[in-house]
Amino acid sequence: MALTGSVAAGAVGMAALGATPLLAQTGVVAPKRFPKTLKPTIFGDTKEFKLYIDITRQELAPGMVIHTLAFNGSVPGPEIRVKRGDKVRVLFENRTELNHTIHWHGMYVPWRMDGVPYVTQMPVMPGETFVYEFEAQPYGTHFYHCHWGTLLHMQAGMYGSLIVEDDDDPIKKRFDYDREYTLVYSAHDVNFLREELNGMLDRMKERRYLMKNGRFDAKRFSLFDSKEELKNAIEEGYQPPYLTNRRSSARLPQPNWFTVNGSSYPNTPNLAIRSGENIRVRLINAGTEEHYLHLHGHDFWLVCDDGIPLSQPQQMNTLRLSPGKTLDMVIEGTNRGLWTFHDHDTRRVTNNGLYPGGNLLVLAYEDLPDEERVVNPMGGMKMDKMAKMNMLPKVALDE
Amino acid sequence: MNNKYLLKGIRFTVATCLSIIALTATDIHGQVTPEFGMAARGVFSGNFEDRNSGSHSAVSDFSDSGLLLGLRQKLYSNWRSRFVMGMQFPDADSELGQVFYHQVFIQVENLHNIIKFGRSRVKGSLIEFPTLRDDDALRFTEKLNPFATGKNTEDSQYGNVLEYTRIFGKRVWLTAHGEHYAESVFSMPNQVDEFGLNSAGVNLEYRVPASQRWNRGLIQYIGVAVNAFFLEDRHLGPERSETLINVIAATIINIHPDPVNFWDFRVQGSFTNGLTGMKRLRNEVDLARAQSSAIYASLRYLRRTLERPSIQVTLSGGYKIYPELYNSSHQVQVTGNVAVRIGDGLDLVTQALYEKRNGQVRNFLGEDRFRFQIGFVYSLEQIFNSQFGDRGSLLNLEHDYIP
Repeated sequence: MALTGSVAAGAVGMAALGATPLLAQTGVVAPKRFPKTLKPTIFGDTKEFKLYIDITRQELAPGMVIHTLAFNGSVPGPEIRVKRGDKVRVLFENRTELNHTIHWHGMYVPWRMDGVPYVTQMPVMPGETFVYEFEAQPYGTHFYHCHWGTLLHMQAGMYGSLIVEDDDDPIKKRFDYDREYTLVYSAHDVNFLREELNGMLDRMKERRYLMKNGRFDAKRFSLFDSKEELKNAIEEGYQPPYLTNRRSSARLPQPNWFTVNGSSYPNTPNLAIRSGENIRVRLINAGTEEHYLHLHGHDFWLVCDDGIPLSQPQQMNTLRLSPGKTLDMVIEGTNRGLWTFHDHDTRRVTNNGLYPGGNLLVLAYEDLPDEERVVNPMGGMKMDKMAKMNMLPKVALDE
Repeated sequence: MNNKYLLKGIRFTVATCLSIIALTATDIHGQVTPEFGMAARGVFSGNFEDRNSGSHSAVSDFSDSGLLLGLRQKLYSNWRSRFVMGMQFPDADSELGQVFYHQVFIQVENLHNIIKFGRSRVKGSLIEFPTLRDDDALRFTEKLNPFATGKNTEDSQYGNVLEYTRIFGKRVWLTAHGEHYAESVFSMPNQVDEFGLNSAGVNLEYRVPASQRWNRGLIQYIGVAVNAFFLEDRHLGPERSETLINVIAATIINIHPDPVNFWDFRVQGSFTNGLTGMKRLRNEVDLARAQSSAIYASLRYLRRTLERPSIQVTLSGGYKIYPELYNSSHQVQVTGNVAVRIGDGLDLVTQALYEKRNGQVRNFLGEDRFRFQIGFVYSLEQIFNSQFGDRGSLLNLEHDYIP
């Protein structure tokens, strides 16, 4: 059954759309937005959010499961959405045996709320709860992430989107849209992740054992009051962990899994659109790799950079998403079909070194008629008949 | 056509086809690169020995130095396989040559099952003791090989093994094992080793994984083992066969599981029932065949600074008695050693060992002796191309196992 009629009627709810054959086959659930938003509790003029961190298991792709650090049980953590000017309180509970903090990336928080261990605060120790308070400024797409052991903890999953909305949203004014999606990119060396996480858990068990007995040794944490104190300690025989005769790692991580919202193709989320519709897509790079994201069959509008609205949106079909960067784009539904949206550094469109995988998404038009999805309408190969496959798209893993 | 030639031809053709199939598969598809593990230990010491008679000796000793190479990969199910090959530099008078291949085995395992076969360390003891070399206390800690001359310790330490281990929960290990111990003592001339299983046993162990050492309580390890050696007429003489039974029990206790000043204590006791009516030792192999009881214990202090070991001091001692022999026959050993870590992987070690022998044991093992050793021990254990976690890792133990 074609969806065109339903969409044209404009009265079909999302639940009904979710039951259509196309959505079932593309895996598009078609929510109004994703990822899931964290609901606040309102105390007077303050929105209070509860975040906890724990170790859990994450399926990157079917059959590939890793241990991750997950905010509220999911990678990425739940999306926090607030209005510009809101008073925000976040109760952050550490349920792991590791140290953590939360850094509010791109936000104008008071400096003691910035979440950098030993610079703005002491680490949030196992079992502790830390309260972050700030005013939601500035407008735009931002994110939060752990700043303790950042290289490890971020690729282990400790990140989530933070969206500061404005009732007078300039993007919504110019490109009227109803649906919006947040895509958080990351890259993972799952072997580095596993080994370092085990190593850090081991060290922390030892340190906690000592601290429970009231014995805190600053050198054990490689913690000094000043550079001079470190230099003096080295002269007295102390060996910093980065020296090859103590604990230095044999190598830097080399990511072999690339995720969007915690998943690699074919688990990646798809973007749902209808002909004539605009959708806003917020892109966040919470990983260590640069991504060159290309949309097939369309140009799109780059509308925000680091959350800041561009005075003149730029029309393009490929953008560069650097580590730590957020970019907002608007896609206009002008070319009905199934279109891939992927990293054009195709080394990141791999799972464990094999293409396809990684950062591969589909922009799926919900109003695409079934007859247009019949495989090979122009004739040609006979694989469809041999495999008894009639409709596109497929999940393909061996190109 | 002569049937013999026909059969030969068929065999050759099948073998050639199989070779081609194997090579073709490798050539076209390649192989998934496995994990590559390497472990190395270099033990270099100067040994100074004083005997009761007043004689002295000084030798340089490289024995126990060795290299282990291992390959490991996931199978198509949730199982894994491992192939290990290792070589060791044996004692100079061992008659094993310059190099002894002490480990050549394949292991297949999943979370709760381990199957191992090949040449490896036999289940001759339950725990290891902190002596400079593996065989320093061997006569107290290992069930001795009752089939071999006793010229070398390797015959008691290594054999062809077939083991199956079932792990209950995360800490209880039940192992059924069979071994072929090297045979070199026969009742009649011209008899040879037949390479069948000549020993079997069962081990039941409670093990706290090493990764959980800072959250463990008093008990680090408890184990019991029952072993049997099957001696037949080629070992004992015409129409005579007997089974030697050996029972071992051991424990390791955390006296003070402190990360900086760590103390533990380990003890192992063993009993071997002995051949019927054996009252006299005729040769060295009878040390393994006579009834005996042994106990060995170690107290260990380990100082760790900045999460790395810096110094270890141990005091060990053992007593072994052969109660059924005509005259009182026993051995006593006291050993102390100090290891100082002078860099990652390298320890400066000194060890003093005193051993007293009485009765018939003295005839074969020699007079009382005092030995002082000083040397270096280099050790390394690395995994390259790491691909999956171990059963005993903290993530797998405490946050659900990932195959």
